[in-house]
Amino acid sequence: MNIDNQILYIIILIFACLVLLCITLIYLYMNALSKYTKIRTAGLSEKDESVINNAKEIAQKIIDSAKKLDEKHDSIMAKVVGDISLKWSKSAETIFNKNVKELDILLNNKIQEIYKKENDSLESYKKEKLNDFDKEMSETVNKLAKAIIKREIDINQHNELIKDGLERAKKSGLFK
Amino acid sequence: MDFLSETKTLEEKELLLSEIDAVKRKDLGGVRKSLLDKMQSIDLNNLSDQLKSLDVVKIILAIEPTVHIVEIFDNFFKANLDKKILFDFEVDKNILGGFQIIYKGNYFDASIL
Repeated sequence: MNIDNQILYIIILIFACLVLLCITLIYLYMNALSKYTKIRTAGLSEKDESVINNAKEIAQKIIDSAKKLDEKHDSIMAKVVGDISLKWSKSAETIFNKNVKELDILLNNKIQEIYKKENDSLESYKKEKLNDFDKEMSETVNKLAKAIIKREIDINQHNELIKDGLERAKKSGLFK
Repeated sequence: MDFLSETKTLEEKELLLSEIDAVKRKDLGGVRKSLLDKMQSIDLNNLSDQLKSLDVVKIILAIEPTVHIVEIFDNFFKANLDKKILFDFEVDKNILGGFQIIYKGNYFDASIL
């Protein structure tokens, strides 16, 4: 029975210690909780606020500078793109103008060549036809002239022409 | 009648030769009556040979040769050549007047074209 009393006492003691430990832990927890709540509810101290403001300012500056950098970048990019575009546009225009000019020259030459060829052909045809016409006209006029002259030469003139011709033939030595 | 002097053109020569042949054959139907008596009094063979041996001169004229034109040529050749020749006349319509002549291979143009 004595042992039982001792164990009981020990158990009670252990129990008492545990309760005490629990109370201490609860106290410490409550204390920490109240401190945290106080920090949260009571706001930041002036120093903290100034640090935060500084940080905000720095952050804003960083953001502003980033914005400026972006704007600058954008403007540079826009300028570069504009320059390139302008250069390309000018190059393209130059090339186009050059090509148009060359094409124009080529077309002109071709047209001149065709015109010359056709003109030569036409001239040749015209010349040929005019020659044919001249020849035909000449033959017709000759025929007509001969017919008229022949009709106009009377027998006496024929006789005279024959006499004259015989004298010329004699002078030429035909009868030697 | 002197047959040789009366024969002036190649056509006349050919006609006379055919008549001589006809007389020789005693086929007198186609022979000119004015020549018959005279032909019987001459040596036809000799005449035929003489006719065949005559030189010919070719004359190209603008018109058909008239008797007068033939006379002009005949007189001229009699005066300028010491031998008898015959004329072979031809008409070329391209000639207006005058003549062209070929004698012994030589050509002379006395025409108006």
